[in-house]
Amino acid sequence: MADLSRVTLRYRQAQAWVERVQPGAIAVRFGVYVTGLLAFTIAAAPVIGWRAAAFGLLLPVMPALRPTKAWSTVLIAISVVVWALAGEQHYALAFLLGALLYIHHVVTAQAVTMRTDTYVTPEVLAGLGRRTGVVLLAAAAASVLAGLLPGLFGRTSAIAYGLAGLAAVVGLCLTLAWLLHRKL
Amino acid sequence: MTGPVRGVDSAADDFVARRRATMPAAEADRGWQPTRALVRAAVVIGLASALGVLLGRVDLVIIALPFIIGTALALRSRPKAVPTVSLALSSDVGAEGGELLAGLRVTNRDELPLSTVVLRAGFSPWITLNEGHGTYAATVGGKAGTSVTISGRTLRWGSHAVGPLRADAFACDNLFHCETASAPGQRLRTYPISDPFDADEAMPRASGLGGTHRSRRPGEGGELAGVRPYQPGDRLRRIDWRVSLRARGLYVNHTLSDRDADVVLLLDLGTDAGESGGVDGQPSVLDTTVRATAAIAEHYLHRGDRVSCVEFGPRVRRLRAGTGRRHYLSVLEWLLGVRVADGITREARLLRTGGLPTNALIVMFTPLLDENSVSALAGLARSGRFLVAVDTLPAHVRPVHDSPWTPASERLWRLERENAVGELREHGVPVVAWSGTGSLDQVLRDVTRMSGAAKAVI
Repeated sequence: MADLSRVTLRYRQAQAWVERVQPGAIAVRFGVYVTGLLAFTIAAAPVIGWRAAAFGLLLPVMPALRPTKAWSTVLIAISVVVWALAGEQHYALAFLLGALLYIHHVVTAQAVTMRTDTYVTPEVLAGLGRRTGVVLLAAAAASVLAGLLPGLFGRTSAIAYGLAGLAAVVGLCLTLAWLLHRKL
Repeated sequence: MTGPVRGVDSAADDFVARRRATMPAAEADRGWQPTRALVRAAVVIGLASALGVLLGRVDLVIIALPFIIGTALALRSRPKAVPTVSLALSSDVGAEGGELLAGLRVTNRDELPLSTVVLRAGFSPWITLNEGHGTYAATVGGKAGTSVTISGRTLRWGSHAVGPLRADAFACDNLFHCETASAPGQRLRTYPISDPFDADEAMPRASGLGGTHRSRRPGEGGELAGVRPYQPGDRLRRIDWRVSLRARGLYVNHTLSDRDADVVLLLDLGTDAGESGGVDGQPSVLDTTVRATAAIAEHYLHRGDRVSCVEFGPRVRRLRAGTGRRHYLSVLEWLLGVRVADGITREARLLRTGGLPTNALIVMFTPLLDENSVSALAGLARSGRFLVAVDTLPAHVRPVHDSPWTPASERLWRLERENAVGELREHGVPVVAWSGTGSLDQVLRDVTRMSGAAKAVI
């Protein structure tokens, strides 16, 4: 009897949730799931083949359901590590993965701001799309330049190339730290 | 015995209390804080770049590029000022079933635009919103403000909570977050819609000097009582020339004076039953009581009578007697504060505090679910008051708990209730179910007739 009442309660809670849910907020959650699925499938397909799609179906569920937690960070980190394990791939595919992971990242950040019953004005989604588009265009241009760099320096200058990369990473970390902690 | 369940109808207040309990204090001084998204971006940039450098892989750097560029662009500038929010209602008074318009405004005092502002406003469960459920996400430009206009409908009478309003602001592509100070909530006073009510019967005892009820005293009124011979002092315009010609002597029309009367509306608030469906659904006992009170008060106040209201409950709240349209608004305001409260009230307390004038017509709204109410009615009748009991128990009310014994016990309970009503009638308390227009005519006629009858004093 108690189990039945608990089931009834759950059913009513689910019914109330369905009644309150808003399409804009659900679209954002769906975006988290879809980008996570595609990103992981692209990253893991060279390593585990068709099973990547199966894992990909499950892995983004938690980021979509609980965007406030660290699940998205875990998914992105796994995708990057699996991609690294797979060996060097085509740059276009790498850019596609980077773009998908970035979209997953920004859509998750947007999902954190709202509950599923939040009424989202179209300007919010339009602004998100505009900003992401600008970033991806700039990243595409930068990716082309980055892809040309090895050709410019040649394979023989691997040490110099590594040192330059290390300097770039350190510089990047310092820049981010400065941006974060500068006095306004 | 299984009877209709006792309940306290204060869902709106409970909601507000819960809302306030879960609301943190104003956090305007916390300022802007990094979100988890910023940490995630830093982790991805560090991981992909480090792996790219260590493994000598350009593709890993390309993966990190959107994060690097996006984060750098977002962190170009950071917001300094905390946005402010305000809540405004188009009107703080309405009728149940009426429209609600509320404006939620957020003002960004910083030059940097806010990528997302989530406005959260608490609304009473008796307010349905046309769009959303009280949480809205919008964007705000730099040095600008955004208003979200919310329209809705109030489903039930009462003093409904709108707000408080709280806003979460996000800037720099949602990499920074700020909880703004909350704007205080407001109250939307929603008056009950009066069921149409009209009573043609005279009052049992008119007591004032002016009004529309015909009294039993001769005087300047509109009600013709007869024709009598002319006496010195009679006005010439009262001479009935047709009768005078026939009788070969002067005769004048004899009229009854018009008087007003005292009406006391006594609300039994010891018990509620039935689930209120709002203005479009089934009424509860409290709904019927409040709407009937509003209807009867409007009717008698329109006719120039003095109406007062008294709660029959632990609080014994009163509204002084008054007349006119302004007093009708006072009655509506007073009704907004009506709550069901458990506790025993003795009729002696009602009589002792002097809220029930001896000549007044007392209309008691009661579901007759409580022996205390029945004994109070009997006591008031014994004290010689002109009393009418209006049964406010809706026909659709059924016991909440269902068991194999419920139908039988309900039948028994209803028989006992009918028995109590019959006993009340024997004590001279007419009991009538509320049904709007003309529902009190028959019982008022009985009360008027009884008031004119001789009384034996023992």
